[in-house]
Amino acid sequence: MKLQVKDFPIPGSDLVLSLEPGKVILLKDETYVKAEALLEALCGINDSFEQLIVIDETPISDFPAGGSDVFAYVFDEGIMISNLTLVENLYLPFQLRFGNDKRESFEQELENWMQVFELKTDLSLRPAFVKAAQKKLLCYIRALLLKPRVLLFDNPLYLLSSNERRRLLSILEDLKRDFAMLICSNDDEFASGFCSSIITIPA
Amino acid sequence: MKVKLEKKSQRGFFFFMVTTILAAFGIARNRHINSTVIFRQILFTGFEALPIISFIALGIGGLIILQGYTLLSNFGQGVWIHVILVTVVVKELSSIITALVVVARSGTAISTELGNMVVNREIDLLRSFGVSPISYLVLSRLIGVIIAMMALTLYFNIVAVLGGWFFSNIFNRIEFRAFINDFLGVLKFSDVFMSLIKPVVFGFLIAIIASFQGMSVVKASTEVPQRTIKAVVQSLFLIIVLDILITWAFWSIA
Repeated sequence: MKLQVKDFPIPGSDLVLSLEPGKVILLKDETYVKAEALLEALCGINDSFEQLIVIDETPISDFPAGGSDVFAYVFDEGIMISNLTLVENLYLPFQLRFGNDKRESFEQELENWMQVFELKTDLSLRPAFVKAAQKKLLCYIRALLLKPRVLLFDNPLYLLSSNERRRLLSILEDLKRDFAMLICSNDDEFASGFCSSIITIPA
Repeated sequence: MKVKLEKKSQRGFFFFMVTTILAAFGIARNRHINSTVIFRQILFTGFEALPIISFIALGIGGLIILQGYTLLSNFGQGVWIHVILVTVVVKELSSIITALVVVARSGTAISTELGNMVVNREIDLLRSFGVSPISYLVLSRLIGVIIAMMALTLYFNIVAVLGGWFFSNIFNRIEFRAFINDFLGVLKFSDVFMSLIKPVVFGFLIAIIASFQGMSVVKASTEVPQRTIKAVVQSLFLIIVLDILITWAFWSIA
């Protein structure tokens, strides 16, 4: 998949990325503003991003659901809908993407991912009753359940302890084979070894 | 500057309302309208408001019958109490009082909830899934509030009329069948129709204004109570204005 962002990060130059499974691209942005804005624009939540985004020669605005059927975004703070339970939070986007009749397959896949992430969280709880790190890991699961072509991560290790960071890095290492990843982070732990290319965005 | 902002806000509200109405047109095909959200809204706005609505309806119905009967009996016109009951309770008070209770409970709750969702970036999260916040959050709540308003108004009428009979019976024995027959004799189809139209209009207003104000929060949680106050004031003002307009329209037709 070829991603082209016109006049980004500076006017007159285009950002062109080839996003294929196995490719992990890190956007290093000291100001955080531009890289985060790009990730948000890719999944359709940044209306003020003025640059034209083109995926395989098709403008992202021509996609039926914006970029949400291509990308899955994991927010840095592990955001969840506060008035839904954890399982409802995980099921809502899955149900909208794959329909109401896939509950069994959802439960099966969820169980598998819970084992991969070694999570034993009570999913009937509301997000407010769960630790931030657990919520963040559940957000990874929510994104993976959607089977996107590209995973977008904003500060992937934020809120995680050193143990959780190690575990997540090893999981992401395995996931690299199946997904392309576009990451916004200034964390050197990521830059060293994990990413296939690093793009520094000028302030 | 203030005038400009106010105009911008009015345009924004108009655009928001039109977007919601357009989303409502494709309701059958809209997968983002969530039955759980609708059900929870009906439960909160309708079912959980029953005790306060019962209390007010019972009090209002009883007081109107007591005062009215005492006053009219002095002129030997006690039979007209049913006309007063239909005019005051069924046509006017039931929908207005129910709307005030719904504004106080649900209007504030919707505005606060949506405002906090904006601040916590939950709206952004929904949009990142490709979910339309207008369909999922606003339209689902709108449907829930309208259904609950209609049910509550109907319930208010029943409790007020039966409560009125019960209270008046304590002081002045009236046979139930005669009371209901007289009441139904006075009640016209247009009265029932008006009593059903008003809750639909008021429910729409309360939900759309509360949702707009909640979604208008930009970044800070300090905006949430300010927006909630605006939602309450605007809802109350527009409910009274539209109540007058609907009553005037029915009166003109009649």
